[in-house]
Amino acid sequence: MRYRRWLLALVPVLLLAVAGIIVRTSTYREELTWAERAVYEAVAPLQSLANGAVRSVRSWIESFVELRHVQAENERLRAEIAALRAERDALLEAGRQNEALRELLELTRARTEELAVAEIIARSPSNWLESITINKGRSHGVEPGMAVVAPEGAVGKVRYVTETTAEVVLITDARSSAGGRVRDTGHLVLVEGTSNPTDELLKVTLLTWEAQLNPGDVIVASELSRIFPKGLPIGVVEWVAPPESGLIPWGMMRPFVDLSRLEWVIVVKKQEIDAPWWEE
Amino acid sequence: MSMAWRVRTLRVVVYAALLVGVLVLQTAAFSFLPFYGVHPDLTLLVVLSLGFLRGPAVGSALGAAGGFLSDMLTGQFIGLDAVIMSLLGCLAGLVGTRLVVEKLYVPVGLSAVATPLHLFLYAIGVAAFGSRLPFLEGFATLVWPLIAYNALAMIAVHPLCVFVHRLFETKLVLPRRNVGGTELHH
Repeated sequence: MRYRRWLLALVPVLLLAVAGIIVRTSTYREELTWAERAVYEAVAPLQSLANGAVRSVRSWIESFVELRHVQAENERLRAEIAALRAERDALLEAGRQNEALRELLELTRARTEELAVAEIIARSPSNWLESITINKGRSHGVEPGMAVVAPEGAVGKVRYVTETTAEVVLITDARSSAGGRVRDTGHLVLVEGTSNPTDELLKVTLLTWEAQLNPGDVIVASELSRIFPKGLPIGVVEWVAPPESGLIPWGMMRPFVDLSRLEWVIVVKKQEIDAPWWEE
Repeated sequence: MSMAWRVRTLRVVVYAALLVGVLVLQTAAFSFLPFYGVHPDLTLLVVLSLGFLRGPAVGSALGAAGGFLSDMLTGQFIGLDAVIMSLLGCLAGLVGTRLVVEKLYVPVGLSAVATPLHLFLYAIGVAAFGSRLPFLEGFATLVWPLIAYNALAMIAVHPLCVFVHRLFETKLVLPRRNVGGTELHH
């Protein structure tokens, strides 16, 4: 009975302490606590393992579907295909990874001081917050605030780092915003995430009153962007809100990078990149 | 060290491993198998299932632990999910103490109720601490696929939790049982 009374008295104290921690962690912090770093580091190998298994299964299913299609067309070759199936499954996965890595390697050749290629090992546990965990951290030169990109364009920004991992907030997250400009007209825009994983669109708002925003406009990072290197493609405007819905023209755009299927990313260690590949 | 104490310690270790295991699966495996962009909240499902089986106290404790782990991997609003999941674990426990129906549709129904509550309370919590989430648009698009995915995942998660629960329930009862007038000593 006495024990229960103590426990009840402890509840408000605990709730106050928790509220304090939430307030402390609700805003941007330069560093993670040792406890958070320990959890990240301990869980990362398990995540890497689980992620690898899922990729293998997905690849196996994809190759299985593909093989079934081929078998329907080539009935008389069935016996031969069956013999080659196991070898082909392994080669398909290796080939797919090889292709992605070769593309990244082209970009990073002789640029290791500027760029670091990283594998995505996990995503945020919350459906509200859109972030990813990559397998590169402080020991690879990754620091908070660095831009994360893919060959097609912008991906996000490094938020926290541990020794071997980093958390990247995606451009589609509601906590994310970046300066951009319309590639053809040069008008400045603000690109904001919406945290809506079902359609993965970004909100784009023109920063000038007189200009127009049109579906099909390509948005790139502007000179004023403090995250992404200038000129980096971000996305394409999909629809524009009718003029009467607000004074400032705004619309929704689709990022060039398919963030839901992304497996590899590049961390930009320097904002000024010599001979950026998107300008070639 | 008594057998009962050892079994209880082992149970805590297994529950902790279960929570870490499902969190790893949630973040590294199921997040790459999205359904309309969402992934199932396996940690919440384990908390609900074990809370339903073991009562409000265990539900709250597991919710606090699972939510805290999830918060640590989110890196922001640490403690918010712990409080919310603790409440939902307690709720599942209260339902479990009042319902004796051992049918799968009860925990599945529970997940269908707890999923929107979890989303709603998290968004309210984030707003209360000064950040913004696109609550109205996000909630409307997230909630239906998430209810469906969580309900589907619960069909697999609940039997696993029942298995773990029964494993320890049996071991806790056996050591003290009298057989032919003699107490068993281990």
